[in-house]
Amino acid sequence: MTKRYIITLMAANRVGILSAVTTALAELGANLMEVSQTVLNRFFTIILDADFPEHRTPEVIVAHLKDFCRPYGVEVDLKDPAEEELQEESAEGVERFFLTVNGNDEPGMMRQISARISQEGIDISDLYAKRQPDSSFVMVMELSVPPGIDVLMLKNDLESLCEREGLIVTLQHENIFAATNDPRPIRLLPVKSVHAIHAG
Amino acid sequence: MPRTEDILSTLRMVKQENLDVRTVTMGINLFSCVDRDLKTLCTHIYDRITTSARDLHSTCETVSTRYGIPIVNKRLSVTPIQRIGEGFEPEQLLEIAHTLDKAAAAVGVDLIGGFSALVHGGHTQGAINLIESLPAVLSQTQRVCSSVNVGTTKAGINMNMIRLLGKKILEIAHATSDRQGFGAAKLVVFANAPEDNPFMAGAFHGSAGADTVIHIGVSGPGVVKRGLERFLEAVPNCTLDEVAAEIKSTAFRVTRVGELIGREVAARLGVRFGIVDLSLAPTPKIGDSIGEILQLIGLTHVGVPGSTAVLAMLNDAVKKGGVFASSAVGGLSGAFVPVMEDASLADAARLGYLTVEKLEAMTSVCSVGLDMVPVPGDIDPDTLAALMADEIAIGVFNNKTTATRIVPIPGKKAGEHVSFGGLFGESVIMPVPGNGCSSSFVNRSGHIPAPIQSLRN
Repeated sequence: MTKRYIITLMAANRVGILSAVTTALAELGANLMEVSQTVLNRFFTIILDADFPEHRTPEVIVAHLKDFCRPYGVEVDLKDPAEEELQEESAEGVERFFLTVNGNDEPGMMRQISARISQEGIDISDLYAKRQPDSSFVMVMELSVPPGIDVLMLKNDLESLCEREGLIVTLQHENIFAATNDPRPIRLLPVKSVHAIHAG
Repeated sequence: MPRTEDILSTLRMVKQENLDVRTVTMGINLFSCVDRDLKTLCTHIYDRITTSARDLHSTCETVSTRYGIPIVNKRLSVTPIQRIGEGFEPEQLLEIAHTLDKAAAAVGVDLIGGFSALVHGGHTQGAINLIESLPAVLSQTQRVCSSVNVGTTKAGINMNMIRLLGKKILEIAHATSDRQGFGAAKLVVFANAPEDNPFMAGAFHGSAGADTVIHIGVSGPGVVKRGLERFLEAVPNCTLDEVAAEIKSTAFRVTRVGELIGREVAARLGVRFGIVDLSLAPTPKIGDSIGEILQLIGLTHVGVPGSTAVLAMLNDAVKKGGVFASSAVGGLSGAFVPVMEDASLADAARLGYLTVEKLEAMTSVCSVGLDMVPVPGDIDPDTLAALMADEIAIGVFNNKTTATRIVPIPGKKAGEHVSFGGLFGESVIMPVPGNGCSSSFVNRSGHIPAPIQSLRN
């Protein structure tokens, strides 16, 4: 039997840090299910979804990771999914859109935009934001949009929100990025034709 | 999540490089409307068009919003009216044209193509009546566009109809002299006309197509030009191979966008998706020009030596990128060189670098032909016919589509200026050497036989 945990680790980035983390995990008998790692402003961050032998307690896992990675000064945090109130997995018909914002670096923009998006019950499943060398700001949000959301209205609202601050906002379905960057065929989700809508 | 760089580069194409879809054109079969009673026929046509295209505009807007890609034009093409209007007199055909005009207006479409005749293998009385009706049709309607296919590689060239069209084009220009002859800009004379062309004025719905179909015209030359500009800034000393590869890569992305939009619009309308037309169609806007691409690659002006070679390379690279991107490429699929609609071409014509003769040579390696070429209003009709015959021969004998959209400008001479405004642009009037020197040839009438298909040198 196994037990699943979500673990985050952060440290100043150095060569060999990932090797140390994965070696420690192997010693704990972990089986990685999903990993996301990035280096942001020279800081290494990683989030792991892993299965551990059932007898490994959270305290042992955190202590071993910290101990093994001591030369790197790694901070470790662990969550037990069984003890958290988790959001439902994406329901059928959810589509991915990307919201891109660029322009002047205005304080509070991310807060205002994320607040408007949450009003619609839309989950932000990924985010990249960075201040550019010319002091402008770029943000890309991946949104999981449930069926029934009026994308045009949301787009118009976000545009007027951002226009006041001189920002350009674009909301686009993920397929447009597949079309322009990936040579593989695109499968369209079945859509209800207007004839069916009129008939209904 | 796609790579951030990919998201941002797509965004740059849309926001800064004007990536769009130039046209979504719905082809509508009108054969089911046929009736010997004119009033009934017109009612059937109106109902068929307004029912089929009722949701075209709103659906395009929905899909445009979903992908953040502008759809510039929504248009209609119908079965060649000659086919359903046989037996009607020119004034009755005018009634049909008014019906098309009203139906297009009712569904919010600015142009409807298909007031057309196919006469490459010979002409029926219906075809002659349709051509006879053109001066009235193109002067009295707003949205109706016309085309006549006068030659094919299999059938040869119908010189009788070319001679008649020479006269009619002048009549059309004079019938619209209050608009500087603009009516002639809505008539295309074709060789090897494609039946799935989404671009105006030459679009019509082929008889081999589905009842209703959606065709797409991809983004214009602006996006190719700006992509190339960026590449040349990064690699200023690149070779022509690298230039071709860069154009191909942009054409791929542009075509994929067109296909995605087309398939989704068709699915939402519950109709068949037809083709993506790869033609780069310029507009008079600075930066949206085929000529500027040629200049970027290294020519000071369009029309100077090298122009045909560079245009051939551009056209080929666009096709290669597009064909890989879509399994449904069709229509004209080649760079357009419409003089009035392309600011760089119009400028080269003004400076004397681009002549009718050089333009004709360039059209042997691209589509469509002598397009939006303003000529003096006093051009001899036989000379006009002979000029068309030359261009049609390039298509027929090289097994490709060519066409003419020559616009005589009433009351004006070569070197004077004409402006239609908007998308139809402006230019100086181009001189046509040898005015009046081709009458004996044209008046022999008859048919130029179909070309031999072997010994291809």
